[in-house]
Amino acid sequence: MRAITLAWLGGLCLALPARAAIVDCQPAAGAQKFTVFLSEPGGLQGAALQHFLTDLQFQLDQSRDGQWINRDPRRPDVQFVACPGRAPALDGQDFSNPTLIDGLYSRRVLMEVWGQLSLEAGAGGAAPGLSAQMNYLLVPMQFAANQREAAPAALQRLRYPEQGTAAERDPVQLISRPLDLDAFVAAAYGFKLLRERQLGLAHSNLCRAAALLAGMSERTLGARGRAGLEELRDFSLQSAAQAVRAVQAQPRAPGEDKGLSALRLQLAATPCSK
Amino acid sequence: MGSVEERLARLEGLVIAAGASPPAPAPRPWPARFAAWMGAELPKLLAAAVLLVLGFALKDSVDLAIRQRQLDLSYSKEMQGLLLQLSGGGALPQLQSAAVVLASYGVAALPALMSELRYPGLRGDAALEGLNVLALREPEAVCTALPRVLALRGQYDWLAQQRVVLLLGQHGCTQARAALQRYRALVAEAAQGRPAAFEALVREPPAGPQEVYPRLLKSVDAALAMLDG
Repeated sequence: MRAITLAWLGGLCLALPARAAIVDCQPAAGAQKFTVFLSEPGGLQGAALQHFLTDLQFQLDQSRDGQWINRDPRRPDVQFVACPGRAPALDGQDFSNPTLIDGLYSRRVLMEVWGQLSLEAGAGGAAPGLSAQMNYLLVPMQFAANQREAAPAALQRLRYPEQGTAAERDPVQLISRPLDLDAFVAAAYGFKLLRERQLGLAHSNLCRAAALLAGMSERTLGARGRAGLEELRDFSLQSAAQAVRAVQAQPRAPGEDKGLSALRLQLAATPCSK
Repeated sequence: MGSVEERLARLEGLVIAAGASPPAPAPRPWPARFAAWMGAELPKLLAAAVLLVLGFALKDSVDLAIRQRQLDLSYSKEMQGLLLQLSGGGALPQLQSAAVVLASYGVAALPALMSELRYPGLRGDAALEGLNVLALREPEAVCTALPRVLALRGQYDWLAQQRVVLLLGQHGCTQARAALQRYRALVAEAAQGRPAAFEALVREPPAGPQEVYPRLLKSVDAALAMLDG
């Protein structure tokens, strides 16, 4: 463990300034799959970067599937894909290209995660720890905005570690532990499913996202970060209400799913109340 | 009516006038004179002239065809490097730049760009940019070739077709109207729950069809509106 941590830190120390480049990355195979791209963060290079992407993908694929609602829990719908060589600019300017977003959206990419890792000196002589600014681009929301539809800010930015938490020296643990990723995936997944008219699953994920985002907003975040999260939470609730109304508007099919039948009794004004 | 003498005198005058020398015939035009001068040799001369003109024209068209073939060959060699760049997985600006340079070869680049359009991701995005540039330079050729993308079976995915639909509308390809209407009919049928014909057309059936078919219909309608506008 100590050796691995030293390797990470060595990789960080040797890292040159990140060079932004959007190269192609293949989404998860299988027509029904949705994908989250894990792009290269700035601040890591060489073997350390390669290890980081592989470990992060493994960690997320192993431990995160239960955090949003899948069609079949044994075969999760969302897969994380590491994208070596893909390093978007930290300010997200690459994603102002609508053709790029259209391509991602049409290939069912839900989110792209990237950021910047850095080594910070510990306060009062404490051991140095890692910090990260992570960007989360919610592709369906950006697509909707490009279509001039109502949508919240698609690029969410968060800093780690949060105030008052212990210093972290493993970048994978720093990024993969928080529930933030789950909230963003659930929001993007739910909204995409709503657009694909998979209403029951969309509603479940949007409500899950709203609950997770409410928890995130209570944490110590900057005013700007909190405003972005609250906007996303409101949007998730509105989208969940839209799913409820859509279910209630369509005729009941023979052998209808139990979840959909339950949604027929749900009030659209409180779409996520039990 | 005068006396006999007077009548005789008038007749005598007329006889004298009729006996005068006739006027000289008008000169014949020069071709007739030339033909008369050439006599039996004229057909041989004409045949020789026709052969000369034909030979000259044929030589020119053969020369042109040979030069065109040489140009195509040299274009193919030069374009090969650009195609390798496109398939090499570079960053988006580099891929787009390669596609735009490819488009500068004109009609010769059209098959290559249409082939690249089949690939999903940045490669297809770059090919679209190339086709867009080519359509500015050679609208007739692009407008004639691209509608085939909407009719070829199992070659393109729905996203490539959607992009072609919009490109045809944006560049005012009026000759594509019939192809667009046929494509629209297939999509509309799929949207109404009969996707077999559309699924046979695309490389693989779309994921999330309940979203894809309305999106495609919207794009085709937008393209047709652009053609009508």
